[in-house]
Amino acid sequence: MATIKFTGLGKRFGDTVVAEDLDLAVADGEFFTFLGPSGCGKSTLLHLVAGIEAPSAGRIEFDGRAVDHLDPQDRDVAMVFQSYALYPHLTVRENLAFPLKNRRVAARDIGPRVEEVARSLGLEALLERRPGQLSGGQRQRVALGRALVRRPAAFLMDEPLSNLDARLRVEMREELKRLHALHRVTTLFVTHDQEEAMVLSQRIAVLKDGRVQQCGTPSEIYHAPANLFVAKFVGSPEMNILPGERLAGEPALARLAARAEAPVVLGVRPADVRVAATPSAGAIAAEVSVVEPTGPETWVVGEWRGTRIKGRAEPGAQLAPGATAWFGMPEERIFGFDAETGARRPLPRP
Amino acid sequence: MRGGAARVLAGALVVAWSLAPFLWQMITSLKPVAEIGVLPPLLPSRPTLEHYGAIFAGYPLLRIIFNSTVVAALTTAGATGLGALAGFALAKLGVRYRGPILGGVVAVSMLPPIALVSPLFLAINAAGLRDTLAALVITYVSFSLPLAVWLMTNFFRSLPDEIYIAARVDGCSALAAFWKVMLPLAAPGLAATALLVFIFAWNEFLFALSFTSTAAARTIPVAIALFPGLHEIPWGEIAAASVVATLPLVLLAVVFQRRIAEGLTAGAVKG
Amino acid sequence: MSLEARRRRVAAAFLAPAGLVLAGVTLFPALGVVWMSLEQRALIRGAPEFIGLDNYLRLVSDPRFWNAFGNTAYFTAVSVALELALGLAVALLLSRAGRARPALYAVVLVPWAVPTIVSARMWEWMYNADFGVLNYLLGGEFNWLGSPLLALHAAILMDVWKATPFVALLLLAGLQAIPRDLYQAAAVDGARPIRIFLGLTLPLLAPVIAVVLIFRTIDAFRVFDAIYVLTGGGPANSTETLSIYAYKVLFQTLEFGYGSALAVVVMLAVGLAAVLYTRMLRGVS
Repeated sequence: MATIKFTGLGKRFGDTVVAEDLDLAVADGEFFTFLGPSGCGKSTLLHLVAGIEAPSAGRIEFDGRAVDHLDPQDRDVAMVFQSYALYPHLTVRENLAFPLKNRRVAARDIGPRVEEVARSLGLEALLERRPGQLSGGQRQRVALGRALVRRPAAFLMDEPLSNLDARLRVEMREELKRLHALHRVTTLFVTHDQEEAMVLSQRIAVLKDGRVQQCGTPSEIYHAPANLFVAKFVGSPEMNILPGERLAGEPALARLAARAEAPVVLGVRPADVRVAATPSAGAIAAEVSVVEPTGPETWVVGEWRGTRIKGRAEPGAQLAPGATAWFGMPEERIFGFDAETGARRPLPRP
Repeated sequence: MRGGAARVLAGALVVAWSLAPFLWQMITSLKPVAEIGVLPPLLPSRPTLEHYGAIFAGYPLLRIIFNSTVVAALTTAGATGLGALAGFALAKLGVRYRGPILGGVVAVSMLPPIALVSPLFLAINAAGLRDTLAALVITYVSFSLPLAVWLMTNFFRSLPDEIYIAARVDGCSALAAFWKVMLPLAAPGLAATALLVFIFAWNEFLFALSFTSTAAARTIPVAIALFPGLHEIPWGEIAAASVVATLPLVLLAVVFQRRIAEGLTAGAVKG
Repeated sequence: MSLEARRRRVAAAFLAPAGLVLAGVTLFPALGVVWMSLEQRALIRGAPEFIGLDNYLRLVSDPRFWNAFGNTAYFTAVSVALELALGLAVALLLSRAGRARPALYAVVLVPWAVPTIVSARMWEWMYNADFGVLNYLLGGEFNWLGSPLLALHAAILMDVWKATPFVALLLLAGLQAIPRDLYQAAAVDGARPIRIFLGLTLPLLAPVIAVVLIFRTIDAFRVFDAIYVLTGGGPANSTETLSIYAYKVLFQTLEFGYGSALAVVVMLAVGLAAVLYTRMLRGVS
């Protein structure tokens, strides 16, 4: 178990800045996620913690001790990869035993530990097989087992579920959550899937171009996004953004926007928008373009002054493409974001 | 089907063109002396192994084959080993000047042997290594290193970075990761490299000609080039020696054709 | 020591063995031969003596040098052209060979697998004026290796036989790298085979062809083994290439200074060809 601390961490490859001035503290046993679009440097952060790359600036500390000068094999972390990275020439048993052998664990202890981990992940029947003979889900469990068998100070997981099909991904997500609750190992998790981050993490750091946009619990990130990027990235379906210039014809919204004391765009989550066939106070009218029935709810997409707006259909409402619908949104669920910087601006009651 | 017939004809021509010269050499090696210079007939009336016997009896051919085998084997071990170490570093250890280094390695491979034979001859003489197998092995290892480094670099690059990272994180130093994980996975590349280096060392002529003077260190190409003949050239024996020298290589090439092709085309074609 | 510094040291350790061998046995002598070319150094006479560029001046006015240069250039140009044409034909045939391909491939490889010296003596036997099978099959009395005009072409034919497999292999790999759908699209557009070949196949093969040209030109220019054994450079120096001339100067007249100058010329010519071709390659891809 360990705490992990980044102080002023920076990394550049030539002219490309992958991380800049990162200050973060991960608590002992915490499940911490780096969330961001592909290519924003999340994997590099894991490489820095593992010791595969050296930082260009700043420090990394485990339990208050600097680790920047340590080689990967001396850092007591375990890694799980998107592509599993199992050793193809070794059996599952040998794959699981590999980290223990390298650390000179006594031979008589290796067997029992491997068996124990294999049991906890349902791999007993596969111990003598080679990775090439396993399915994707089985391989991922072996990869997890290889990390678990060591009981390291921290787990580093680099998009471990991204190669699995949708159903398997959800299954493995539950597995990960169960394992974390059981073993409480400090975990740094990297993903671009915001739903995954929300479900698994105790805290999330949303990254864009190597800079932390916001760091907080899933609830904070969802309900109080720090800026436009976080608001749009987190939450599915994506937040509706209503540009300030278009608000002229909607007095209620325009008054709301004016409260911000600076030009803003308004944002509201589709889940908070009710779509009806009849007008209501404060609702904006838009032409229906797409209707998406998904079972529990029906999403309706409308065209309003050249902007797409999405909301949930009122039960029983008859809405067809081409017809006009009214998209109603409660004032308290609307966010304001600075039109220039994207930072969230409060919309205080007058 | 005119296209099909033309293709078969072309195929037959290619087969004839490729095999005929060596087949003729094999036929010649089986002809009794009296029939060698006489054409027709093409084929021997009574095939004989007398030439094969003669080359081993009247000539230290066994010793020469031994020399060639030892030199080729040691060269292969040396060049493949050093090439694997260097190739791994260039592919996986984030060497900053990888591009220029590889370019330099390729450039070195273009140096003509004739340019190096004079200084090397003087150095080998000075070191007292004239007419030794060691002189050949050292020279050949250096000469085949560019090829070995190029092939192994390409091959290691094709192995996923993440397996190397996994090995490091699992407790291996760079050397341990190389030895326990990367090298076993590079076996096909090692095979291709070893084959090509072996064939190069077996065939090398200029340095062997210049650095050796007696059967103590002479190799097969020199022996065949200098095959003695008092009055007339012993074509039958030369043919027999040729067959003996060639069959191992032809067998290697046929059995390992895929590996060899991999090696020869490495990096020449993108994708 | 910082992580970064240690990583660099480890990488250097992996590279050092190969680097040292290359530096000591290849690079250093390459510099040595340049130095020796500036000396008067005969192995039987006394100590070497620095004479600057005198060897090169001698070389420029040496008719035997120009003869060798011309032979080498002619040999290179003709054999590389023939190898390219034949190699392309063989590669095309291999690419359409279907199930026969592995067997055909193995057969095509045989000339490449035959040791160069064996190949030389083999062709020497076939070219023999009195007993050679070529004269028998052609029904003529050609003095292949004894006539100055024929000898160089005989050497070219031998080299083409030996080197075509390598060219064919590389071109085949290039052909196989061309995506099938391009051919299908061309067929759907109604293009005829010749047009497809000239307009689609050749341009896409251009980078591989350039690589082949580089390798084969360099190898042809520095040729020694096969021709030395086939003809020894004769008759009347008609097959004497630069490498053969340099070898004779070095090891028969033992003039290491002048021989080194000749060798340096080969080195420079090869280097020039490599640079030119690499430019061309970059332009093509």
